[in-house]
Amino acid sequence: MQALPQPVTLDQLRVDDAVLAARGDRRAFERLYRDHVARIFTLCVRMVGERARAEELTQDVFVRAWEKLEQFRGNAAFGTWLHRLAVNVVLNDRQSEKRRRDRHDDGVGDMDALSHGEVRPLALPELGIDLEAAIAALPPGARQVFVLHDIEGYTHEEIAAMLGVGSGGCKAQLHRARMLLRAALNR
Amino acid sequence: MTHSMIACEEAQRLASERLDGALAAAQAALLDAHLAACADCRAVATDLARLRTATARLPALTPSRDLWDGIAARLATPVVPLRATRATRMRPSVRRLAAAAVIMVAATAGGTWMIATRSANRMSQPVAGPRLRPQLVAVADQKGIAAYEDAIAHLRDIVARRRGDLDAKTIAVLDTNLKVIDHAIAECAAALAADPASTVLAEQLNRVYDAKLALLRSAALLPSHT
Repeated sequence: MQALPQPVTLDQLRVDDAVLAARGDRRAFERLYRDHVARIFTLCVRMVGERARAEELTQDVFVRAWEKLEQFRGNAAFGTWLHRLAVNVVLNDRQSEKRRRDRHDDGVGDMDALSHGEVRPLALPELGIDLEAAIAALPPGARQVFVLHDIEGYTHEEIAAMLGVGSGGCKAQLHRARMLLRAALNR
Repeated sequence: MTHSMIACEEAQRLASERLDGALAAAQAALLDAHLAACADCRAVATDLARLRTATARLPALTPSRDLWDGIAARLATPVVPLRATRATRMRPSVRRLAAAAVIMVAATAGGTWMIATRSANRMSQPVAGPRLRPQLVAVADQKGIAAYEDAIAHLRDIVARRRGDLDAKTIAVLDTNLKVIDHAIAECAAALAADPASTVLAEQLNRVYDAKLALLRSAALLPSHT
């Protein structure tokens, strides 16, 4: 039997929107923006811990995506490509910020501040907003590893490659972030 | 404090690593022995697991304002002006489709008439035996047609939602060609109903449906009129 044509799915058209956008179609690019802005903003705000800065970075991500769309070959989902681009934009921004301020924000003192004395169960059912605030208050290095690993699902090896550190250091940062969050939410 | 050979700090680190499934059996045994004897570390392990669950349930966040205007203002102007792009890419594409559709429909209509005429003559002649029904006929049966119609309905829905993005001339060409193709489909289907065993008619119907799908796919993917 002659093969019937396969129906075009909406996901395929999302890729096609990327192709159209790469040709200069701004409406297609706006559709991509509408589809992906929440996920990219969520990543940015959790990575930097500040909504206003996250909005600026979200705009930077989409402008950068527009500039680099020619490099998107469609062999991965557009969302995956865009997400990885956003991670790079945020990490580069942090490196620039560090150079500007010329200081290290990841002291070791905050681990010492953890209290092992008082143990109370976490009030998790109403934790949502508190947890967001606690993530925002983490030291930047620990926050980024926590967000990339526990929220975004990257592996230690992937995160280590992004950050230019060893996977052992990455695991240590993750444990540190979790313990700091536990301490913050127990206060 | 130490319990069962490892310190609390080490036990808590292992409890954290176990959440990621990265613990060797020997380490797991040491951790379990420690947790059995240390209420504080049991509480930490429980909290870390609940924290992991709560983290997985965090909802997506939204910006306080629409960021698109700020993004659009920063997008570089395309090298090729959009009007020129439409003139060189879109219109010829639609014209070629229109020409192809007209040629195809003319051929289909002529072919259908000839086949229908021959079929009428043949139907009055005795048939030697059961005719084999090649694979193409199956495409023209109700199941095959339903598959085409599903795909067409899906594309029609997409094109309908994109109508505001396309210019009026493109939409006019599209509508005209869809009418021509629909007419050809009706003609083929009627001829096939009169001669259900005709593989040639089934193939013709196949081609007309293919042309309709190709036209709708092209319309779904046309650049926006901006």
